[in-house]
Amino acid sequence: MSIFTNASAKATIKVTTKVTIISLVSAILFSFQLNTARAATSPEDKIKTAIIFKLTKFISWPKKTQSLTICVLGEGSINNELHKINRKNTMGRRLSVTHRNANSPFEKLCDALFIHNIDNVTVKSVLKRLEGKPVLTISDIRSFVDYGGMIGLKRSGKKINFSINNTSATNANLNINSKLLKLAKTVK
Amino acid sequence: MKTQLLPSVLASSLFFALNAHADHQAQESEDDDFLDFSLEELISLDIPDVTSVSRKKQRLMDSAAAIYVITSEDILRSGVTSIPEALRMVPGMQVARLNGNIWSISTRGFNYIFANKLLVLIDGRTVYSPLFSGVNWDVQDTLMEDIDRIEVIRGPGAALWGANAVNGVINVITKKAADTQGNLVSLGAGNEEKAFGAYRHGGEFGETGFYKVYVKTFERDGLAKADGSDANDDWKMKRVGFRAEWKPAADTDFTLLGDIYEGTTRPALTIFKNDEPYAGDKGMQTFENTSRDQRGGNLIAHWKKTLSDTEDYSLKAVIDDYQNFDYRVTEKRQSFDLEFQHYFQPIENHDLVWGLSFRRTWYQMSDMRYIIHRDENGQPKDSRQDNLYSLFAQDDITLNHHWNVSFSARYEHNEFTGKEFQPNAKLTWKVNDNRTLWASVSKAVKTPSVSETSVYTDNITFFEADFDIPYAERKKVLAITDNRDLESEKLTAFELGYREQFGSSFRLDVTGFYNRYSDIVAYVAQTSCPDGSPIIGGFICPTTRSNFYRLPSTLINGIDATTYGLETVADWQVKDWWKLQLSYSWLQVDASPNTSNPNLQFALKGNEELIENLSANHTMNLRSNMNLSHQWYFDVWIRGISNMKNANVPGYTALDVRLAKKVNENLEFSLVAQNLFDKQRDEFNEIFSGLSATEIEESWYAQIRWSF
Repeated sequence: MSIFTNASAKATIKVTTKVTIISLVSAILFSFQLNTARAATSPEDKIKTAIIFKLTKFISWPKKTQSLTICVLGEGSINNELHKINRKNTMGRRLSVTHRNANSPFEKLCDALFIHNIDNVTVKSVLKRLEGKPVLTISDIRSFVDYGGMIGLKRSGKKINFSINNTSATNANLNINSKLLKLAKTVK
Repeated sequence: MKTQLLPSVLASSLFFALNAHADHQAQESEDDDFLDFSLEELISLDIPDVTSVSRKKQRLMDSAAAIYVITSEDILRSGVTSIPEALRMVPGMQVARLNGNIWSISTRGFNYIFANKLLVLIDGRTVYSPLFSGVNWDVQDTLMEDIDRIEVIRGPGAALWGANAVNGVINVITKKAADTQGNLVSLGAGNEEKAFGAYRHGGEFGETGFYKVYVKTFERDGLAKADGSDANDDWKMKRVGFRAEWKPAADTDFTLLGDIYEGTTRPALTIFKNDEPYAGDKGMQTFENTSRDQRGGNLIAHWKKTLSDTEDYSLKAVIDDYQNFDYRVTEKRQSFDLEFQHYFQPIENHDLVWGLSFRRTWYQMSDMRYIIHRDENGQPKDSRQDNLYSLFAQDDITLNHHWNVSFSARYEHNEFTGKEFQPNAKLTWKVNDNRTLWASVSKAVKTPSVSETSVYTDNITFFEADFDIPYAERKKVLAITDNRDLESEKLTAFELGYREQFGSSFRLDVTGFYNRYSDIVAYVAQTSCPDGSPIIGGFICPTTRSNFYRLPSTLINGIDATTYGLETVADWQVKDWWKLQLSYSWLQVDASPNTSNPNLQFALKGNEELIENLSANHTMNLRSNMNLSHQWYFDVWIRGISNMKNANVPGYTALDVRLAKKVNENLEFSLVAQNLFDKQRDEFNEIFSGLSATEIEESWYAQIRWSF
């Protein structure tokens, strides 16, 4: 069948064009209106979570309590993974993972705080509030340790490594084991 | 991206599992329990690949398709310098080089430079020239170091990828910017690879963004003529590209990538100078230094929103520009593609993917000397525009732990044949963790191309005087008139596969296929002369030369064919430092005319032989990778192919060797020898394009790779 010689074919094409374009556009519009459900977790989330879990074993807090609370600030797929380490044991303390919002009194509720996927203004204000408080701050946000955060996770190539701001940690009376400092990519 | 429709090729794939140092990772992504790892291990392991993770986590071993993956390690350790050369690793893939920069690449039969039954994608961008009915392999390139993998599915992928994915799909996937941070310099020089160099720089931007930019340039020496002299088809190419990824929101990924390139090669053409004043009996002449300069570029934008493990949306737009200043015709082509895809689980155990796509292509043709694009009245026409719409869906159903079934279908509307419907059904039986059997049945079509339906070709195809037809005293030039009424070539394909992992060191993958084609396009004689002159003896026309006749021909859907064969791959990790891979493929083709019209019998008989003799019956690959002490690497690749009767190329065996020394993690020196002990070798010959075949020579080059 040739489009050059066949008028009905031309008509078909016009109709097909319209139908396709309409369905494409509606499919696209429809897709934007969906509200976010539970996001998928990636191997990267799993590795970051495992690193966060391991990090806690190298830190000594001024007060050693029965439980170790990790607060999470920010939305995203990694939260599902972080909830899986809830109730696990680390150095004889039981982990408790809770999700918080930006205005929570972290210094009262948390031993460690993981921040992700949140704007820089909020990050800076949270860090300012926690300055000198014994809360281990961890994040995968770029430049986190430059803002005064204690441990920054960073993906480079296919690997994930971390940097440490030991000054911030020392100021907050947190002692970071020298083994961990050796493993860090950079230490400030 | 269509990539994600592939069976999930995770780091857990067996190809990796056999790789001793990746063994560790292979297990993790299966049970993903990183919590048992030490911190040292966590920061030193590579994040498993997740390109296709959004689909069901299916190991390569369990996919119901004849899939083969060329990994980035395969590419780097084989020493190949181009994508077409890398494809020689694929079991059953027949790769033949016609001259400096033209390849004939096909699988499961129909090996020809106009091979039009394979769909080739680079990062989801289709590369195919409808005007020449084939892939312009010479402009499909990127940094070899930046190819993440090449996934090749032999057999029809039509239900998901669309028309022309009749005999297979080749999907080249490049590395993300996040995985190629820092700088890389790669430089090399040799006798055939005169000089090549590439530089890539990757960095970060914003809070979530990664980018990379790269440049690549090479200068390849011309091949040799049959008499050993230089063929002068030297090949130069420059390319600049970039890629950027960022997350506009936590659940949204955006990728933008593109490149521009420019290249030149001067292949020899044999043409009939019809336009020159009468010069006695001169006719067919070979001209060297005819242009085949090319330039182009493309831009791909890909947006993906991930709602959960079992639901995501993606939207992809591609703009592509290609300009080919071929002496036979200057072709400029722009295309725009838009594709929407949605994956979700409507009910438990059903993974549903559906999508829509639209493509528009604009062509401008000029300097139509030998390849003339025409309108319906036979008048030269210098532009055209084509649209293609399609809708596809696939439902993948997990019946239980052992059985999986999948149905897919594609409906499309094209300019040539209107509506086409291509369904497919697959069944996988996981006998146990180490043994899988699969079966698949599919229908696919190859739609007619521009070259077959609107292009008149003349004065570049010759038959020698001894060609077995009447009027044998003269040479003949073939004129091919387009046929607007061509139908699609149709395929019904049956495949059976078996994979098994024996212990931790041996793996076997066997595929058997049986394909039935109908309405394959064939050349037949015409009963009138294209220029209106009176026909002689019912089938030949006079020319301006007394020693030449013109044979007027056209195309019809005149041949049916059956192909069947076997493809096997065996991987053997001999020692933890030594890996062997052997692949062997066997192919049979049986064609026959599908009409009893006595006038066509003679021509169709010729086509039948042509099709049956296009491909070799046997192909073999043996690759050995050794990691020796003190960071030395020694790799050997032996490949063999039996004779290709139609191309008039006897069977041959080729040997490539690579020796590399890693000074440290970031610096590597290597020495590569290709086609060793072969002074020069003819790999392919054909008569239709006018291009002269040139011969491949032994090649040596040294290379340095430095990352910093």
